[in-house]
Amino acid sequence: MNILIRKRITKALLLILLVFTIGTIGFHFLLDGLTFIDSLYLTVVTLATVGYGDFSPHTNMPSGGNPYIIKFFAIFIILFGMSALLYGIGVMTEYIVSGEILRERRRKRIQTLISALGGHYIICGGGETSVYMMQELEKTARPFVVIEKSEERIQELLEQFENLLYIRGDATHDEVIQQAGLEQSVGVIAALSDEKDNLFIVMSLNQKKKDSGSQFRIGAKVTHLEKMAPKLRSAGADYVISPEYISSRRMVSEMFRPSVTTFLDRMLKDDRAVMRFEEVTIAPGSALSEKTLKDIRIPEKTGLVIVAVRKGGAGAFIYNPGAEQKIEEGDVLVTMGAMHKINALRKLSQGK
Amino acid sequence: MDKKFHNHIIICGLGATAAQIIEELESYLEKTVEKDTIIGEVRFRDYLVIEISSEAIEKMSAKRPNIDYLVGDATDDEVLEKACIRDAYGIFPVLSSEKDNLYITMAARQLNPRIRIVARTADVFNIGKKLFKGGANSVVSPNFIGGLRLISEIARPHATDFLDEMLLDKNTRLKIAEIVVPTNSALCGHSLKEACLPEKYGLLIIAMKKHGDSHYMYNPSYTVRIEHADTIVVLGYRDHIAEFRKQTVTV
Repeated sequence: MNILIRKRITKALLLILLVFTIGTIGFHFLLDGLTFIDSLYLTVVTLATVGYGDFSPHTNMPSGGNPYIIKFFAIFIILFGMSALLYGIGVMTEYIVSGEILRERRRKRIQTLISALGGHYIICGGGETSVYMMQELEKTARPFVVIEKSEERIQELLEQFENLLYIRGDATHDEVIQQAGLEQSVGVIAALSDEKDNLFIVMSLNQKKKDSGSQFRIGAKVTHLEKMAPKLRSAGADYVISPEYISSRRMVSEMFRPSVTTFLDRMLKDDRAVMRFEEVTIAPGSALSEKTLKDIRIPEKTGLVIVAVRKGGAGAFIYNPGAEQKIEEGDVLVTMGAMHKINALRKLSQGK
Repeated sequence: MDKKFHNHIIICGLGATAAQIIEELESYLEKTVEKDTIIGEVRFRDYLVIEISSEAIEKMSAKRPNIDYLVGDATDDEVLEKACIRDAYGIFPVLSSEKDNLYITMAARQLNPRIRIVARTADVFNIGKKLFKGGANSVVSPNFIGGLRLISEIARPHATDFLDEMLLDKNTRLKIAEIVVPTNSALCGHSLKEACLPEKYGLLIIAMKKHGDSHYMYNPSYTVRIEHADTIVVLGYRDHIAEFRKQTVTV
């Protein structure tokens, strides 16, 4: 709870308590024949504007009492008491509504940010595996949106990812995934804990892809590899991964061949610099297209070395391409280096 | 259990991970005709599974009838002793409980200082650190490598293909190698540019580590001087790497 609102709720409760106390004590001593319970009753009946009339300053006026003092006291109790009660009601309403308003405002701000996105990734489900996906996307400066059902889980994710773009909702609902900017995205990963949900998402994504002609790739996380992977693939998943399966294979490899992956592994886990093997695809009209590597001068412009070229994005890699290697649109360049350099190269590879 | 084991692998717990590890190990064993199987740098003969539930064992036996089992609680040191842990080559603590796996890791390290322990955890930050402290040689996190792999496949499929071809394909001649410059090597005192790795050997220099540093310099500048005991990480064809390795030793 907001500390400011908590303070105001406490203040309102104290004021209400105070007015009832003053009323009870005041009526008891000013009027005749009222017990403390009767006085409290009279205060409540007065402030509730009920006024049964069984007790009143008039009926219980003590003989020889000053009616003006009693009337002024009643005016004070009514005005002060009403204000205190209204204040209390106001504070409570604000508390109930403000959470909703804040959430709504946050949702609108995020929706605006998402609608401005393009070339982003969508992760369905904010589970533990998704956290590592989000970390990698963040490290490699790729924008993403996560779809998660539980508000509680979203709060946990927000603690780790400050500027997280998220949608609270069920990713199996079409309109929810649409809100994440599906048509402008380049990849969607179904990573819900329920396998059938993932299958359902992959099927509807594939349908959308066909209908709209969008180009996003579809990935899926799977637990029961043998049972689910063929279904996911035939439903249209470009890639299916079982964390259990690959980690078991990895464990065996770690047991027998500890040295094989050492360098790459250490590079991936290096916190001081984000170094990756990455790729860029030459878009139509790119400044890099229709030239030889010698002319493009990538090492001079970006500080990167081109490790391999894959002509037209398919077939064998041309490793360590020579200076005379011609680069055309649709070619894929594989490179290794710091992410900001790779992103600079990616800009060059895009069309004008 | 009467059978005596030596240089074997112990798998603790017969869950989904263990089943997958068994498939991997069996695929190696099937390929070998000799008495011993050699995987990587290791000569290994057989493995056994410690599992407390006879139900799980029966289920597995239906699929693979010839596995050696030890029925018992793997967190019991006596059970580990029965599994000849002192003579074992390696152990996979893959019970469903993270705490049990941590316990087994510590017990295994105490009973056999040479044993290779490969553990897994869902929680790299807390349990992962404790597993390393407890003596694990390697800790694998399904969430971490699963998540990374999914992103790699979706966001950089070609680069991932390229790395896979290099790391997994047995026929490929491409390799990443770490070369430590020997004392008195002809390279010492020369800059990377003067060493002409790309031109002479077709090798790409992807990283370098100066002697005594714990961190790599990636894409090192060509003006960096090579000194003895530096590590150069190169990418290239196997035979070119071998040739370069030979060259580094020449005085």
